[in-house]
Amino acid sequence: MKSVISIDSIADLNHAIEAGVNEVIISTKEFSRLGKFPIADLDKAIELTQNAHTDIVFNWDILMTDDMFMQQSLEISKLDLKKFKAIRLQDPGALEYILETTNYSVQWIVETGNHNLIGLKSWVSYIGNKLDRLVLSIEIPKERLQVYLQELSCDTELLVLGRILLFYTPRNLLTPLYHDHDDKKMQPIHSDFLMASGNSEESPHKGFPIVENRHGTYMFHIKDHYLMENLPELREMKLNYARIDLSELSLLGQVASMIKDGVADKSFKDIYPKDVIRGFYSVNKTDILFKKLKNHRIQRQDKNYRGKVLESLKESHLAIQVQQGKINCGDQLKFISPEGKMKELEIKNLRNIAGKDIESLEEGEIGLIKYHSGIIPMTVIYQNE
Amino acid sequence: MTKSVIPEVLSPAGSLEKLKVAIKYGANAVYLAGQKFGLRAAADNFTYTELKEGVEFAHKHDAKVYVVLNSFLHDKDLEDIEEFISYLNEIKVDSLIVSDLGVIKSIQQYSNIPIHLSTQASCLNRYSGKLWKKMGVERLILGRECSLEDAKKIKQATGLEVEMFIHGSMCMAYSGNCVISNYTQGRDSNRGGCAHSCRFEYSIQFNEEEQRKHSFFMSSKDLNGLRVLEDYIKAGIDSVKIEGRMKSHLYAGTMSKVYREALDYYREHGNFLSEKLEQWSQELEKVSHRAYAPVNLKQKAGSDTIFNERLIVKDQYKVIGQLMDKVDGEFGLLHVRSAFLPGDTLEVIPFRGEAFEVKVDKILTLNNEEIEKSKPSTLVKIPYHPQMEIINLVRMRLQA
Repeated sequence: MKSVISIDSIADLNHAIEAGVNEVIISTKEFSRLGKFPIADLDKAIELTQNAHTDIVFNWDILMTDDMFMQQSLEISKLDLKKFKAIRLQDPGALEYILETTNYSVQWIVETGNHNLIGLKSWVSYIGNKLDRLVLSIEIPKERLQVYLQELSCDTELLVLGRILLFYTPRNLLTPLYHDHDDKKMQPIHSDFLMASGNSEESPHKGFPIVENRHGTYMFHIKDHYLMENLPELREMKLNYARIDLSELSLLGQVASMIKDGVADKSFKDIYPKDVIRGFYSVNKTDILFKKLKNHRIQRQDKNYRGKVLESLKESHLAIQVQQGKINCGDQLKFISPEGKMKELEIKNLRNIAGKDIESLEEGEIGLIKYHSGIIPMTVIYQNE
Repeated sequence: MTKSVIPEVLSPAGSLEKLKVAIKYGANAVYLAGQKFGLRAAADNFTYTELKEGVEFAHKHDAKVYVVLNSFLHDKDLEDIEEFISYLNEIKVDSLIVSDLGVIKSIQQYSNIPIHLSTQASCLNRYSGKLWKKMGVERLILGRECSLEDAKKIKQATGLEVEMFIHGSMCMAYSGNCVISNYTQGRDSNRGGCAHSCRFEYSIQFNEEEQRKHSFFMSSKDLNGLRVLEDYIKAGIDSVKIEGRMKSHLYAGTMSKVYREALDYYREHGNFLSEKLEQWSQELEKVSHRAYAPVNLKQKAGSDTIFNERLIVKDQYKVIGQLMDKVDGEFGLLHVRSAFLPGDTLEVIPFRGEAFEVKVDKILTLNNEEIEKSKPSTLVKIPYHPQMEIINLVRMRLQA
C-alpha cells in the first residue's frame, strides 16, 4: 500500500520526500479548493520529486460554474502538466475537458455520492485507459469496500488519516463576520486562508474547523478520520493508496512507514494530536432513522384503502372523504388513527354534506357517518377483508 | 423575429393532494417521489396507487410528472429499483430525476423513461453538461450556483433541455457536497435525511482571545426569480422549478399560480411591463418564506444572500384551509387548517385571476349549528360565492 499526501509548499514537499511518502498532490491556490502551493514553484516541485522518485500529481479539484470554468480551463491549457503522473479532478466538466483536450491521466474523485458498484464501474468504463485511480468515499463501509476493491479494475485510494470535509460552498461565509464590508464595492481577496472555529448552538457539537478562501467556505468534522488501526485489513483488501491529510507534518514519517508496512500500531493514537473517529468504516446505518421521520400510521397503504376522516364531531358525526374506490352502506370498514388505534365498524347510515341520506359515496365525495369515539381527524380508512 | 420559448412551470408535489393543488393552480409539470429513492424521507411521498392516480390526474390536465430518484444510492438500495422503475414505466411517468450514475445505468437497463439530471449532481458548466449528455441525460437541472448567463451557455453548448430553480429554499453547500447530517445526526443527507444543520445557529470564533460571534452564517436567503423571469426566457430555460416538496398546499398553489400567470402574460404580450408584476410579487410575499434574494441568478451570491436570522419573515397572511366541496347557491365547505371567527373576511384564491373576498358573518357546522370560532381539522360552511371551486385555497390577512 502506498501513501499519498497533499502538500502546500516546497518545504512540505521536502518533508514528504524525506518521510518516504510515495506520492504528493500539488494543490495550488489557483486550482485546488484547499491549496496553498505557489504555482511559480511547480518546476521546482517536479525536479525534486523526479530526483527522489516520488510520484507527483496536479490537483484541480474545485467545482466551477461555467464562467469560472472557462477561465480555469484556459489557464490549465497554458500549463505543461505532462510531467505530472496524473491530474486530480472532481468536477465532471473538468473530467470531460481533460479527456477531450489532453492526454493526461486522471485521478477521479468519487468521494461524494458514488456509493454503488454499478456507478463506479461506469466511471471506470467511461474514463477508460486514461484513468489512473478512483478516489473512493469514506462513507463506504468495509464490507462493501472489500467488494469494490475486488471488482474494480483500476487503482483505488481512500482517506485513512485526516480531516473529514462536511460542507463545501462557493460563498464567503466567514468574511461577513470577520470585518464589516460591502461586497458590492469590495471583492474579498484571500491572500491567506480565513480560519475559525464554529460551535453549534442547537446541537452538542463544538469546535468545527471552518476555512474560507478564494474558492469558498469549508467546514470540517471536529474529529479526524482514523483508519490507522485498519491498515492491515486495508492492505489485505488490496487498497492501493492510503491518503493522509495532516495539519502538521511531524508525524508524517511514522504514518508513511505504517502505511508502507500495513501495520497497526495502537499506541499511535495516543500521540496523534486530535480526537479521531472511524466514521462509517465499520458500518453505515445512516438510513436507519428515516422510518422515524414520519408517522407511518397515517400513511396510506394501497391495499383496500378507501379514504380518511376529515372531521370528528363528538356525539354527532364523522366526516369522511373517499379517496379510492367507493363506500356503501353495509360496508365493514377498518379505521386506523394517527396514534395507532384500530376500530372496525359497519357503516349503517350515510349522509351527504347537504344532510340527505344516501346509499354510497363515490371517489372524491365527502359524507357523514355516525360518530364513534377514538376516531379522530387524519384517521385512515380501509375496507375490511 | 424568433419566438421565445416559454418555460414550463415545474412545481413540487409532496403528496397527491398537493399535486392536484399545484396542477389546478397552473403547474405544467410536477415533481414527486415514491416511498424510496428521493431526498425527502420525511415528506408524505407517493404509494404505488397514488403515483398512478397522480399521473392520470396530471395527464388529464395536460401536465407532466417527473419522479425523483435523486438519492446517492448504496448497493443495497439498488436492489429494489428494477421493480420500481418497471412500475413507473408502466404508469407512463414523463421523466425520472436522477443524480447518481449507478441509478442512471439502472434506469437505462430497465426502461426508456427520459432522464433528467438532478441538481444534486452539481452540473455547473458546459463540459459537465456534455459529459452527462453522453451518459444519456436529456435534461440538465443545473446547480443552484449557476447564473442565468451560465445556463444560457450550457444550453447552447450541449443542446440539452435546461431546468433552473426559480423559487424557494436554497442549499448553502454545493448540492451533494454536504454531509453534516451524516456525521452529526446519523442521517444521510444525500439519501433523504438532511437535518438542515445549515439553518442552525452557530457561534464563531476566529481566535481564542476573541468573543464568539453568534450567527446563522450557513443559512441562505430564499430564491425569488420573479423579477428576472424575462432573463430566464431570454436564456432559453426550458423549465422553471419551484423548490419545496415539504411545503404547504398554499405554497404549492400560490407559486404555481403566480409563475404560470406571469409566463402566460409574457406569452401574450412579449413583456412584463404590467402593474401585474407588482401584484404577483405581493402574492409571493403572502406565503411563509425567508427573506428573498436573487442569489446567484445575476451575479455570484454575496454576503447579502445570507439569512442571518432564525425566523422566517413575519407572515402577512395565514392559511385558513381548503374548499373541499360546495352546494351551489348555498355554501362552500371549508376544511379548516387555522381558526377564524365570525366577522372575519376570508380570501379565496381562484385557479386563475385575483383572489376574492368572502365575508363570514356566521360559521356553521355541517349540522347547521352556529359556532363562535372555527377549529383546525373541522369542516365548516362558509357563504357561497359563484367563483368558488373545489380545491381552492383560502387565506386571511393578519392584523398588522
